[in-house]
Amino acid sequence: MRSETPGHADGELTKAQVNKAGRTIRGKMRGEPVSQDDFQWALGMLRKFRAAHRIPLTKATMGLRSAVVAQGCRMEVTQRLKRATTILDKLVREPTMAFSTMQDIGGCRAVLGTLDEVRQVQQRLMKRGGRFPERIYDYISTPRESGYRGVHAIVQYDNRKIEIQLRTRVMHEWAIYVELLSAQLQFDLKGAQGPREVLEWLEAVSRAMALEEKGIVVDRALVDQISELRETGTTYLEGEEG
Amino acid sequence: MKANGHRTPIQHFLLVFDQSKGELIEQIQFGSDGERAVAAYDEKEQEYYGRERIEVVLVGSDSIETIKVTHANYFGGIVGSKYLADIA
Repeated sequence: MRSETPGHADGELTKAQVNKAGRTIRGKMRGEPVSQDDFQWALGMLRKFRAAHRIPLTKATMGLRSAVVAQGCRMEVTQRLKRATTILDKLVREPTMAFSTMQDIGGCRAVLGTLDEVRQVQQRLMKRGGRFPERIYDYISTPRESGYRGVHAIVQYDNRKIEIQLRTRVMHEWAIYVELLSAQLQFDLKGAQGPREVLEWLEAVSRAMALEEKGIVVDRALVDQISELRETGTTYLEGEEG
Repeated sequence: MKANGHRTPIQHFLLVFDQSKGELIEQIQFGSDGERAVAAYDEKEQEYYGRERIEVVLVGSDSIETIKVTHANYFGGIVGSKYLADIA
């Protein structure tokens, strides 16, 4: 087993070490010649880097809880540390990203009642002195290709990036269904990867749910489109089950 | 709890989900001991290394009831919308 880099004992991490671990993992996953020792070292660094997000993540979660409660919203807030396998997948999927800049190793999520509540909590997060989000990804105004909706804010605590997700219950229901289906089909449907029959149907459903959430009646054309897409989508799913 | 419990410590839970069965197969509680939870996360992931359809995830919240909402995919999902009802 290789030793720690001199001068960085006691579990202290440097960006250079973390990025080197990311490159080593990518190389191994692509089938390049990487020794088992080097790969194990890189996995150890991954675990250390993830563990270094534990306290910043808790701080971010407490901050999100405060923002949710201050707005008078029901507190449904959970945090999660990203799974190692998902980190590995992301390193391969985003080959130019430096591992030290990965933004969602620590993530917390609030499920809120309405669109207004999402915007109110978003505004409150943006006002927090010294914790101003580095970036906001507004997937409500501009949904992802898959139909995923929600607001993501990247904040920093103790020099670690943490991703905050804000969703309404309606957005959340769609996202949870997609998670379940992704696990069943072994595709990243939220990332628009998978069978066309299923992706088109889910995207159309998301559009209809978004309209209804705003109090807009879904027109006949979209209802018919969803009905047709549902048929092809469920036919595909039944084929997978069979 | 929901309205006033925002200062309660995070309760950590390690979940092991079998995608092939669509079932949660383990749920381990660590209380507010985050350090122990992260160490157990590493160990549990290594235990299931190479088993692609097993998901090990560490989550934390005020209670497991909240996690059943925010991470409902590990607990059978949510049914509400007519668009997603009655689908396999």
